[in-house]
Amino acid sequence: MLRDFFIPAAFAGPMAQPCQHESYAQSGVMYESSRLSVEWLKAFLENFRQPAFGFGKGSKAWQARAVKAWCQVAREWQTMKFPGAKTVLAALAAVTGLSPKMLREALANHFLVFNEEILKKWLASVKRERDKHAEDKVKYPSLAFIVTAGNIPGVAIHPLIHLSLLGIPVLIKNASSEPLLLPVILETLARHDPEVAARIAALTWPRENIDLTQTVIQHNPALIAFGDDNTIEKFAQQKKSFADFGDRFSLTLVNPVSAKTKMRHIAYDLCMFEQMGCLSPQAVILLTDDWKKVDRFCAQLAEAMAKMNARLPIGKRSAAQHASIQQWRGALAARGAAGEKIILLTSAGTDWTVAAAKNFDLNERVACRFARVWPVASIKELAAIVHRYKNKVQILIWGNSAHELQKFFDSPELDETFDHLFFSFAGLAQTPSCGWLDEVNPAWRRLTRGLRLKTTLQ
Amino acid sequence: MPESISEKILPFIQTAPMAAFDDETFNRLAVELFHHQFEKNAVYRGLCRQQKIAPARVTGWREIPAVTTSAFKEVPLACFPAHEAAAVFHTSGTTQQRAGKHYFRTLKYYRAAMLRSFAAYCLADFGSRIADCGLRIADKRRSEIPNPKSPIRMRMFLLGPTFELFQNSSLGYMFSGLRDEFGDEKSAVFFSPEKVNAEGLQKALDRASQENAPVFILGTALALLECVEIFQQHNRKFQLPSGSRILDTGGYKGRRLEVTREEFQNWLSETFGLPREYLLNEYGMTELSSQFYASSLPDIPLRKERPTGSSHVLRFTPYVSHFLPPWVRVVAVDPEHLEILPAGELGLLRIFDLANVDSVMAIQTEDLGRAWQNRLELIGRAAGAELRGCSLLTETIAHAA
Repeated sequence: MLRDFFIPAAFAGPMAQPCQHESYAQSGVMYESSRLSVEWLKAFLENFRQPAFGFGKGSKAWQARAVKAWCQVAREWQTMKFPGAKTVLAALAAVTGLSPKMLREALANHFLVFNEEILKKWLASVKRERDKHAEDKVKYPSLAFIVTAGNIPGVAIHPLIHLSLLGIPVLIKNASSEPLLLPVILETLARHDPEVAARIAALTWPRENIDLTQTVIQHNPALIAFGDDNTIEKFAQQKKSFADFGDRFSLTLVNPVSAKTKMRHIAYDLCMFEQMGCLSPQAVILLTDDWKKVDRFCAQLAEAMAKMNARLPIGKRSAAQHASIQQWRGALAARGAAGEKIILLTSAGTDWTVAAAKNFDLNERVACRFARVWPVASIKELAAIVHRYKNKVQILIWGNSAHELQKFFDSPELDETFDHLFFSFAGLAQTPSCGWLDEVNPAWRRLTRGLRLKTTLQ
Repeated sequence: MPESISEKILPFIQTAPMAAFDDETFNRLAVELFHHQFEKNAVYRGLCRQQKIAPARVTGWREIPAVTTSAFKEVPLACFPAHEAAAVFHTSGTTQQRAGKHYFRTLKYYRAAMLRSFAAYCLADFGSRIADCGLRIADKRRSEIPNPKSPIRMRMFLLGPTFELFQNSSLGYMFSGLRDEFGDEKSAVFFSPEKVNAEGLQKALDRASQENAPVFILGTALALLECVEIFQQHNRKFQLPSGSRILDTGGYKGRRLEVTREEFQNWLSETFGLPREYLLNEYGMTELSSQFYASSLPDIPLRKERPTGSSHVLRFTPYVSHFLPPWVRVVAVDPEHLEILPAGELGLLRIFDLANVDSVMAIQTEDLGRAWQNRLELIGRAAGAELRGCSLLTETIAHAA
């Protein structure tokens, strides 16, 4: 039986055993759960919160052991070599619907960027920036509260590790739909260094249980919230400042002249996490209006998608997901039948789709390996698209070589639309660097630097 | 001069026995209608050609290519120039979603289908109980009522859109049409773009109770829920006169809250003092011209029978059956490959509606359910699919207010 919570062993005695334990089944996985009460949570938080190390007294020793512990965790999770790994993987596959191969790769990607050198460099850069903005310095919070989302397993791993390196006590509220992964990761951490793990707890309660959420909010934590726009808005109403990771998506950008060699990478980004996360491209924008090139690109991408599907099989989809894919395809087929230039290439079932059209409504999201190829005649046209979705675009994924990206940046047509966008290369979008959150989220950047926080929603 | 397909379909809708499913006639009309739509509806013709389907090769209704409901958001699917439409019904949608549009050259098929099914499944019991209920027979309009044996007038209270206020709502057209056809002079609307008027409904229900006049409340699930919640807050319960009934339409999965049908019916039953068999439900969608009813009223044409056949069909299911009229057929298809499944198997519902004369008769929905010849079981629009339908209309209005 797997636990949907992690409470550090340091809270021995009654605190470690909050209240009656119970078990429940979800997606065929049996969980041991703790039935939380407001009273217990209040008492726990009073004991759990404590001054962060940040870069103050004792921080060097803390950071050294935290870096070491997390690197040990990262090594085990990259190779999935830890006790009970198979069971965890099978349970996660059942819970998330992702195939075991996909999960294995996704989890490895999460931890790929964490080694001693990288983590130390990150800490050094944080300190440098903190010192540079001395006028905005504030004390690091004595409690951080991460509210996770369930659609992308491990979405909170990066922020969790960063907060842990700074010695900030972190309470995680697991997503009810995926309460499994973080408690297991924390078990691994506790095995390597119980003291580092002692500053992290992960609990699960349904979002409807507002009393428990409010109890945490009343302790004035630094809030880091993942979720849809509604969730983020609700938190925004309650808390003046926090780091939000709301609904975002990415776009892949390709010059079709020389993209062939990158096709596998473009397909990889489209397939990872079944296109559900903020780093997944919702469209592949082609820098051409020559439909012969579009045709050729789509055929090559379809081939790459089929190959990727063989390497990383799509997981189990719900009837609703199948239905959505059929409806997306049906809508495009109708546009084609009405005379619009449409390309629609599909697998025999619903495993993957490649569709090209001159316009898409990106507010209507797709998932499950549905590649929307959007040809644009010019960078100006591209800028118009990026501008239209400027609050939603997380990163631009470059589908060609670095040399060609430089040429793109040198283009005289490039305007300020692209100034604040974060670029990545195809194939690497889903394995972002250690500091990528700092680049894409100013609120998060200020929080980790211990600088006065401004909400990103203001 | 040979009779056109549209001239053949109207009498079929008006006169086909409601409990008999004449497959031969249905098949003949369906195939003929497909030929008509292939010829007159250019977009549909294009879709058929994409699938390499030629009319000559289609001999049975199951082979008729279906159009996804999403297609209605993208292009006009009509057998006539869209600007000549007598009515255009829009699907509900959030601000993030575009509305689908269903173009009608005429509403006569829609109206005929609407009145016939409603009379059969929502008023079937009234023929023998008119005297007891004190209902007034509107003789002057007998000829307009599809079943002249039951020319009844009820006090209808609407908790949903009306055509007067929502000209692009198929539900609005339906509610207004039913009120005009079957409602008495004290029928009223308690729904507006601003709010659901629970206070007005309460007064009207009290008056009807004093006069011992049976009422028929028609509303979206969300509007009904809102009223029930208000009445519960004020500890207000009713004992509506015998013969009263409630028809709810739309799903139960709204953005605001989720309740099971069981809970919802319990609340309605307790609040309004009605037996469960007088709680009716309608399943329909803008892309169709026909509606399907879940009804246990006495004297309805069809009853839920324990189906025979494969073992999975015999399995107990808590889902409610919606009865089909004889001019409609429904199949379930495998969600991944869209292949037609045997009767009673779970899949996405594909609906063949002969009343969709001037658009497309075969509609591929994203609704999950089981289908038999004369009924379907709606399992629901599974989580993850976009919210749509009548309940959303209520909510959209509530949010706009």
